[in-house]
Amino acid sequence: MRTHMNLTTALARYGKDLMEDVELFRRIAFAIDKEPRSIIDYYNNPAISRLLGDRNSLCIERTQKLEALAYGDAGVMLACPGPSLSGLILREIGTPEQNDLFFNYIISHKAHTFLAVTEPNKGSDAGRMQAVLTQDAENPNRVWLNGEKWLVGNGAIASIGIVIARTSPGPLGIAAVMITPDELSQPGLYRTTLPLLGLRGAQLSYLAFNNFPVKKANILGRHLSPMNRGMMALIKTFNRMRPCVGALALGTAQAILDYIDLNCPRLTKSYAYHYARLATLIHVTRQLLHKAAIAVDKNPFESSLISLAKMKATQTAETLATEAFGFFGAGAFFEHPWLTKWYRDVFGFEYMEGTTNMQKKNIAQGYGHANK
Amino acid sequence: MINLKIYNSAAYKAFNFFDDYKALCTAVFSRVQGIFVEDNYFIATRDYQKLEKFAVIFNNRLYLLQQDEYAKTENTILLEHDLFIGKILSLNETVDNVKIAEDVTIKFKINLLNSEIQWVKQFLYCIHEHLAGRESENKTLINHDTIKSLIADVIAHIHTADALIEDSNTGSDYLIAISQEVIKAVQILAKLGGGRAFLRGNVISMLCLFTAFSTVYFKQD
Repeated sequence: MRTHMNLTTALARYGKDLMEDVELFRRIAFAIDKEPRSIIDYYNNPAISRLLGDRNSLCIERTQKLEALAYGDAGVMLACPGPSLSGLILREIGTPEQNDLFFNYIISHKAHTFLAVTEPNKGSDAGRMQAVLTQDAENPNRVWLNGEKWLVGNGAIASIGIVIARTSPGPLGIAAVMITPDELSQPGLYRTTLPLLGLRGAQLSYLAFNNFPVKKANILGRHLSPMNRGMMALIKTFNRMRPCVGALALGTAQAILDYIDLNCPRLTKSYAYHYARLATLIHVTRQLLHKAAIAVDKNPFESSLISLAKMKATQTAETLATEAFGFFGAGAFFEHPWLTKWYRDVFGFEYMEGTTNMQKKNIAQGYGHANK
Repeated sequence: MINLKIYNSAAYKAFNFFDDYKALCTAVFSRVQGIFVEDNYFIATRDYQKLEKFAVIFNNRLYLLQQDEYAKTENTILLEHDLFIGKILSLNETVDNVKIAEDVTIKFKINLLNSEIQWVKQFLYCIHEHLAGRESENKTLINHDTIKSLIADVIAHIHTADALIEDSNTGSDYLIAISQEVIKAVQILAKLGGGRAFLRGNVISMLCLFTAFSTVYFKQD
């Protein structure tokens, strides 16, 4: 499968340091889409190693890097091992020892990780979460985890991860607990991947914990107040991640635009107008995303701007993927498998780190607060 | 091992269009299946690939298409439904003694759109029921104004599509408009369904397949 990348423009946009990784991701995109676990075949590639050790990047750095890698292929990016979302929450509230355990394990084992928040019956509404951590009556160092999680990226294949659960009712009763590799092999956990049409590299999963024993010492942020280790930590983590999801959408949108530029046989005047409109849309989306990422690096509670950027990036990717078919006529589905792959993928960004409806609430609330 | 309920609705049925499309193609003639070709492209059920030759209708004429007269591609969106997309390389064997009425193609397209609308209605029903059983901020999701607004938008698109079909105007612009109304309805359903809409056999699968049909059979010049 040809990569259909304009190397000159991609190089100018993303820089020499990332181009090798971008090219690899594009080259293996269809193989990973077909079998996400075949990412293991590329574990020795430096591109994979470069993803493992990130424990102090700024949001703006992650945003720029993820756009480039998603320009290669967002599905491959999501299939890769690395700290991902769970790394951000570790950085937010983990002790130095918990951080060392987590990040050292990822580097030494090229491990996949997961952050399990969403539940089949309650969605991502932390206030209504049903998964619970209960103290073992006999062993003060052990807690029991019960509950279901789903739509968890890499949840069924990861060897280390974090689960969000309740320790008590109310907003202060939310905790994040690290599940270590030795714990994952215990009985009391069933996990499986869920079938997907797009973004298959994400390997969204279902996890059911049934009297699953966890070390109490693995509850994150026990040195912090309940407020700071629970809901606040989640809000900050999602805010730091939203520009990154936006970057995945933006990179995909840019890939589609460049594909049109390289392959469209009829850039007539009217098509040239549409092309220019889409290029402008991408340009302004990138500006919003970078602005949001810089803002969250200064203030992790800057929810309004971040939600706006994430929403805009999602819409931009969906617009590009949808309108791209118009450039290629009735044969688009036959002649252009990249377009149909991107079309399958782009709708997944909507559901990552909050849907558009949820982002709109943040945007409106932020406006209200700013005017008080 | 698990009995995961995708929606809190007994009406939920995973989206698969194979049976619908097979029935549509069979309905073209009384005894044989027919495939419609538009701009040299067609979508067919995979069992056609085993046939030495099969009937195709192109510009209101009937042809028998042999295996070496078309190319096929594996497209993931279509494979989910055991469908494939083909491209005509040459059309040689006409069937002159069979007259194809001009409205056969239009009937096929309207029936295709009707089948799509039925799936949209079924998913709307089941997502509505699902949202009625879920709560957020002390009320069921169905009672949130933003959700009501989105549901109203889906209903408006469905009714518009139905009205256009009932109008009996069979111009290609009308058919394109109906197809676009259906796709808009599915796009909003995707927002209503939440993350589960992205699972295979769900709303995004429906959006992708209907877009494929729209691209092949309801394309603006």
